[in-house]
Amino acid sequence: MSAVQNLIAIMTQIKEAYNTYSANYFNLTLVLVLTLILLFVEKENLDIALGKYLGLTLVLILNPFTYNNIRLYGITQGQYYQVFFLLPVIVIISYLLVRHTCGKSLRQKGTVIIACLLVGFICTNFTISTDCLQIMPNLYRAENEIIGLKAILEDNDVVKACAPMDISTPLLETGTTINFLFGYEEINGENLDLGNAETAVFYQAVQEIISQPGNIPLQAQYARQYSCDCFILKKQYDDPGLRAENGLTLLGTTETCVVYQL
Amino acid sequence: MGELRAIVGIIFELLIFPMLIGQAYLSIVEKKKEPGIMVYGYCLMFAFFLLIISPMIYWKISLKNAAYVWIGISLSLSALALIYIKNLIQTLKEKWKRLMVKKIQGILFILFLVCVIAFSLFCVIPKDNDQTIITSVMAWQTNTMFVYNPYTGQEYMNIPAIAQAPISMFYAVIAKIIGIHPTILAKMLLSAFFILLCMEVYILLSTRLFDKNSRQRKSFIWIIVFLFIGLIFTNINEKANILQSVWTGESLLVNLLIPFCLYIILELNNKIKTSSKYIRKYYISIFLILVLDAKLFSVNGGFYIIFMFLVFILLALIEGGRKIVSGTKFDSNNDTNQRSL
Repeated sequence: MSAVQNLIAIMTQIKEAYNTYSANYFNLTLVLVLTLILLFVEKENLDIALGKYLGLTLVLILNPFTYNNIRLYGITQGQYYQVFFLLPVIVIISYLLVRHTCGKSLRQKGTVIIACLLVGFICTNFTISTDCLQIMPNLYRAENEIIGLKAILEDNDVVKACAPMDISTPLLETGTTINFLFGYEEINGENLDLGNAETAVFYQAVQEIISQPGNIPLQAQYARQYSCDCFILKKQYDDPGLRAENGLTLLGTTETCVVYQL
Repeated sequence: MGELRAIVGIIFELLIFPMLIGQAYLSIVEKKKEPGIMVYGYCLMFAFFLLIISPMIYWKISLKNAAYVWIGISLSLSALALIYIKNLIQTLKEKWKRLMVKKIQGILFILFLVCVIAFSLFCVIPKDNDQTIITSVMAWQTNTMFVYNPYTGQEYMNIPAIAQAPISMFYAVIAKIIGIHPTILAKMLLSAFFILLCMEVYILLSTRLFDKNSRQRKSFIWIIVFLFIGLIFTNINEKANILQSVWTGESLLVNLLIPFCLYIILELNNKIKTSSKYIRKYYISIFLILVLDAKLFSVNGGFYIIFMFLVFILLALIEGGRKIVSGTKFDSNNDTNQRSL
């Protein structure tokens, strides 16, 4: 009985994962590439080729044994897990496109594909923005924001700072020698001797800093405890009243961050 | 002096060395006229690097010594590969001739690619939140490999899990050799090389997918290029877009290795009946090289290459297992007959 229940539980998980990833990560590139390939497959062989492909995919990927193996090897945490579950969806979409355009001229085929892709593009609610573009006048390919923060920290001779990971990582990549209070691995506790009391306290502090990014007194307390010269906050958490209450001074600001000196 | 060292280092480590070993490999496996020397060369270089760097990480050898070892190995391999220099010159001459035939088209496409690379390097904000660059910066600064945590400067208790995919050390070692900061090397110099390399793989793949039909091939390449440009403005495939963060292991796995693996598999599909010699010499070696490369790029990378080959084998078995077996037997009999003659 328990084996059957386990099987049902696994199948439910597969179903949930499948629904989540195919809804959130509809892959336009893969659809287009597969459509292009299939367009040049002979019409008579199309059904057989896709039938075999789908059958194999289902047998290989969507069965509890493979799922369990994938999970055992830790792939479920990576993004490729999503790609594997996406493949059948992509095949079905590509297949429909190809069937619809079979026997028509190349121009008609192109128009239909572009129209379908546009519909798919809009339906899946992609956020199209130009936020990713910026003229970067530095060889580190760092955003102007990061270069600004680096200048603030280095001009004030900061040795150690407390900063969120999305700030500390690009800052460290620009070759700065400033140390940062916490990072990715500390968050996960990987490679930490949590049996050691001091390390366990440190780990607890890091967890609290991360979970409460807007708690200025807490940030200041831990920054002082771990000998930091300053801490970096996101601008939305900036509070001049709390800053004065905790005896902090403003070291500088950038477009999205503020730097508080202890 | 520093600039000269950087220029010589870049030309040798990123151009001459991969080209030489790529040509040598293709000559050894009797595929002299195969296109894509640089792709083969880089794949081979990455595989060698993984084999050499893994024990050095385990023995906690300093980065400087690792760089010396790598220089020694790259120089010795290049010296050995010089045996096939004639083949390389011939291949380069042929490539030049081919470019000259379609002068305007070829030059325009190269110019377009240069513009795309320049746009990618100077205008697109990288979308990476992995530890690749930061780890190589830490290694470069402390002259160690996976000894200190790059975020806190604290010593690792054990060798961290990311050491299983040491692409960051490749950047650190090359940066040490040529004397350039690892971030600049990976995000600027190598990015340009890698974008070209990925494009070469897609061009190779197009030759397999759309055989003898140049219009379809061209369309495929243009669509791929414009898709990558278009995807910059969306929130999908940020980490795997070659124009956004090509230096990450994941991006190299997705855009370089997996399409290249598909290219190899499609070729294998065409050639499987011709000779068992191919299977022994070329395909087994390239499979091992690809698995090693995938392991360098991602902790679970090898899984995807093995998975792709497994799917192909299963498909081949379903398609006509008996025919393949009889074909191989027939070929091996032919081989033995030829040898006895």
